[in-house]
Amino acid sequence: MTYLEIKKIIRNYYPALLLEDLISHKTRERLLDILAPILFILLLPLVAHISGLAVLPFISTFVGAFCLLSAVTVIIFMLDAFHSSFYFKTLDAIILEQGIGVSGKEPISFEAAQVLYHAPENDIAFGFIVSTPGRKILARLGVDEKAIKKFLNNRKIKLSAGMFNFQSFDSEYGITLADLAEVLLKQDKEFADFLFAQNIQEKDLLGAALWLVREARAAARALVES
Amino acid sequence: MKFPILATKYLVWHYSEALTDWWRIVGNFVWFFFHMFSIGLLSKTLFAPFKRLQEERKKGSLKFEDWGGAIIVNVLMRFVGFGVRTVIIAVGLIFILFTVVIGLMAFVLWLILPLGVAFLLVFGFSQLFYLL
Repeated sequence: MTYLEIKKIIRNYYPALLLEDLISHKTRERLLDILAPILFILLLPLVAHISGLAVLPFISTFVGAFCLLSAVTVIIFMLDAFHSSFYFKTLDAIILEQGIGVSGKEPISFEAAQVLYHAPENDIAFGFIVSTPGRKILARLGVDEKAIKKFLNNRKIKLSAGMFNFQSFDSEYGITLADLAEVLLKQDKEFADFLFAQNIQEKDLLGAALWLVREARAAARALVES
Repeated sequence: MKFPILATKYLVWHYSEALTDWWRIVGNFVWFFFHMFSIGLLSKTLFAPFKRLQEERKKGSLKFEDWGGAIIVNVLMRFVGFGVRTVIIAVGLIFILFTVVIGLMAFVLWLILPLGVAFLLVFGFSQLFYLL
């Protein structure tokens, strides 16, 4: 699969990628964690006022704050539903036998799509390394930030979109971050040498990438279920 | 520029894909309850004897106690089976009905949710700054 073909698939994720750029999944999660107790605290005096147990001097301020914060909470909830709808589309595509997925299209995970969406076309490895998932994978492998910076500054050959050729190594789960990491390792010799110099083998990189995929899915599922 | 694009994309999704997904989710629940209560299977075997308990009639005997007892027990077991299955099917149908009703209510709520948010924002601001 060429870079252009992948770009076409990634286009399906565009709305969710746009949302992630504007207000990330983590920010939304944090906002909900902050808003929920505030709403509860505001609700208590309002209930007391409505039931006649207490008389609030600034009732309209309370009502106004409660309504505004409720609106923000509902908006975050709606955005989360919007994000999940796109995020779990890949998983739907995997279970084609359920009649949900899109036949003939190899699914790509949201994390992999996010990395490739932000990667510059003339340097795919750079896009992977500086992306949040890429940084997490390298941190998990114990690669020093300084070493990464040094490597990025001293590279001679950059893996461009034209040279990039992709295939999923696990057809059951589609293209994931682990596939992307493996492709980069095989097609970007300088990146492979850099990792080798850090005593990182192919299986270590794949293990770290698979760990991140599992973590991201568990976090997304936890948010949906909460 | 990103925000208006996102808002448009969101509204299109809210009133198109999300609605079809909504009914798919409700359909999944209906499917789940239908199979959990084995409504299809129980309907097919509605008049079968309860737990397949049957009395065999003695062959060749014409005495009433030989065939009368078997008939009574078999009819009774079929009545018991019918009663138990009817109750389970009814409970399953109630669950399905609740799912559909809750699904419908949530569907209507989903349709008016953007308006609800707009109302909360306008009303909230007006209350906060004593405009009303």
